[in-house]
Amino acid sequence: MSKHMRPRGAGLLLLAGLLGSVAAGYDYVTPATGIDHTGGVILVLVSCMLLLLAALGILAMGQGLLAGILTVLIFLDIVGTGTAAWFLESELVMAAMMIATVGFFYWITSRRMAQ
Amino acid sequence: MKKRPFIFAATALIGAALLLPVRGIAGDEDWSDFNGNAKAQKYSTAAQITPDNVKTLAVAWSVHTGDLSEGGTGIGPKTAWQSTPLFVNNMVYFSTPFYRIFAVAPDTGKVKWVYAAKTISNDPKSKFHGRNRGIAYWAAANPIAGQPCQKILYIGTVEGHLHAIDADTGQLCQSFGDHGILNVDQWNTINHKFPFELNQSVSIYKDTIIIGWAGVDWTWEDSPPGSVFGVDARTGQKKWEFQTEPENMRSKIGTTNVWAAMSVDVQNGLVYLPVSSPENNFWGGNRKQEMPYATSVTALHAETGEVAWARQLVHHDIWDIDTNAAPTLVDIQKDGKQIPALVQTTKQGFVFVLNRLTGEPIYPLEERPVPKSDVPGELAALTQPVPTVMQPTTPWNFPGLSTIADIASGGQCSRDYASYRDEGKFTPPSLKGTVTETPTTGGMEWGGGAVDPTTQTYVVNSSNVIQIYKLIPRHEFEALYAKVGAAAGATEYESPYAAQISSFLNLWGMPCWKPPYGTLSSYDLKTGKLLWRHPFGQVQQWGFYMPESWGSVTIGGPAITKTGLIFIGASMDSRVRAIDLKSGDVLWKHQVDAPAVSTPAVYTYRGKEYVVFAAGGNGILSPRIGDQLVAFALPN
Repeated sequence: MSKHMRPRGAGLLLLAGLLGSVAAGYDYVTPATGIDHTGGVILVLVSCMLLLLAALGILAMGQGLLAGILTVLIFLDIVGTGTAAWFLESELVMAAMMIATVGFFYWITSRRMAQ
Repeated sequence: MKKRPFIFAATALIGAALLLPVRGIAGDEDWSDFNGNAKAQKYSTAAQITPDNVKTLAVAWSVHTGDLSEGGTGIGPKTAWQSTPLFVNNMVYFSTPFYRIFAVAPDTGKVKWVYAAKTISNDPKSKFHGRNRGIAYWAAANPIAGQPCQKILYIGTVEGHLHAIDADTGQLCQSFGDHGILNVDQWNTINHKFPFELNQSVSIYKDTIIIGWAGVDWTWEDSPPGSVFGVDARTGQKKWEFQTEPENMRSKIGTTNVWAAMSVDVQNGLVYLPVSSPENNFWGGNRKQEMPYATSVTALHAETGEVAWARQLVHHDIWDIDTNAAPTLVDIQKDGKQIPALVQTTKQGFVFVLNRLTGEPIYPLEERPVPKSDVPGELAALTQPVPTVMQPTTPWNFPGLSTIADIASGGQCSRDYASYRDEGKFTPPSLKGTVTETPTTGGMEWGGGAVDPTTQTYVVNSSNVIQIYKLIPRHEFEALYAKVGAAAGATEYESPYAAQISSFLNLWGMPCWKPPYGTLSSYDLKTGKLLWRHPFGQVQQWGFYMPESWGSVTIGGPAITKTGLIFIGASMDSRVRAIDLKSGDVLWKHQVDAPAVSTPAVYTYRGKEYVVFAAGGNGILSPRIGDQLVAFALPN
């Protein structure tokens, strides 16, 4: 596996999880967003934090069964969070999930290349 | 000598400049009434904001009053702020759910003064706490220089007190009532189950103010019977009183009151009353006698209180579908004639267009046969009046089950539906539960519609809500009430039947009926033709916005401007919008703190046009409430 690619893909996922968490936190406390203090934003905040943790997980584990499971869960997290952000009309979280999508495919590609 | 014209001109210019900050300039457009003007047209001739530039509209100023309560045990219900500001006397005036009047600068929102009405609603434990819909303004035709109270603001309170405030100073007018406060509740002499609650702005006809009242519905059959008062604008002395119920009914049947704003035809000396339904709201076995003013629009001679004409819009109302909005007065051109018209919207989604001098329909009405009641003792009306030309805003029959809600609840919606009675609009409440199309929540609510009098285009927002009306025999209800308390439903004491009124939702709280849940419609009053109808607003649940095609339930009305724009809040999603009058397309929207459940005000001050919304919310629509008054204008 080309060691310089894996961290970059996972790094983008990490960044997306971080940005998404910050964006969801902002949405939660800012009345002008129209979604402040709602259950939907809490859901997205939690899912972004989970993305952050999962990205840390694959970064630490690299290959293996557990990393494979985490990869699948990351995919589901991105799809779910992106959909929720769409219905929340949270552009910031949607942007974070776009970064996550790029990072995810980067990660998958680098993983395949390594195999 | 030759310099004199220059000196005069310079002096005049300087004088004008000095006066500008306090007097505004010629061409400023007022919004002097809760509904824009006495005719309840909600129309402004302001022309600066147009369909071409509205997308650049931005917040000009914003005021947070601090007058809000989230409610809870021991602190009363949530506040519901539904006040439309006034722009008059070169000042923006508005009232809050804590019964305070703010006077703010029209261009900056800077608070000039605040009047705080002393009222039981200031006690946070008061059960009547926290509802207000606005204030009224009166100005003397021939003001006496140096005398106070030549311009008066009126604010009502929950205990039936009407406060008269000097619009210039914010001080009570000592010559009005008892040192500035008129106790309207002194005239609440039959079945004093609750005080006359003065939520709505009073109406003004010359030097007479006309006062209706709200109360506590669904609770006592023998509550205070409906009445309207005409009092002297300067002194508060009663000039006349109008009773909405036959004399022999008044001791046993309550409400039939006028709780919404009224409209006034100053030229013809008439005031128009949207009269509500009587108690018991859902079973009329104790009121089979004719009550011609119940659920009607009634015209009174404003000087005397005598009836000019009345038209009942629902016979023997057993759905609590009060006439609830000030009718809009407009002259329409039809068949080569100018007709003085009145447009009355209703909770069942009907638009009645009547001749406002006679009450006769301009577009035909049909007395349509409707289902009979199967409840012992009840005698539902055999027919109901239905407009035949003006297309209703809500469907006559159940719009169909929501597939998503039905699947999500494992078929709960379809099972429940099969267990209820449903024969379309006006199916009477029943013991097994009736699917009620356009129930008490509307259809059209108290915001009513707006009209462009130049084109005679009428615009109104409407909700499509389905509720289940279930009557419960008294002994069963008492047992239920002992177990669950107020959750048992509408008590309707002294009546053989109480009632449970609930929205038709599945276990997840999803509506069991198909969207749209709210629409905005435009009619050509010259022909009665529907010009367009679109879903309006967005439902928001847990922060998630549902598709625009679903629309939103709405509370609060629209305003129209000369340039062909509709401004409206009203929706659940806490957004305010500008809409193209011709097409119904949304041209601009902006997030505010809470649903703007009131009609916006539009005015021009010193040449600049402002659109102002009270983003106060209402627990019926959404949990989100606010205390924000926000003005929008074009950037400099």
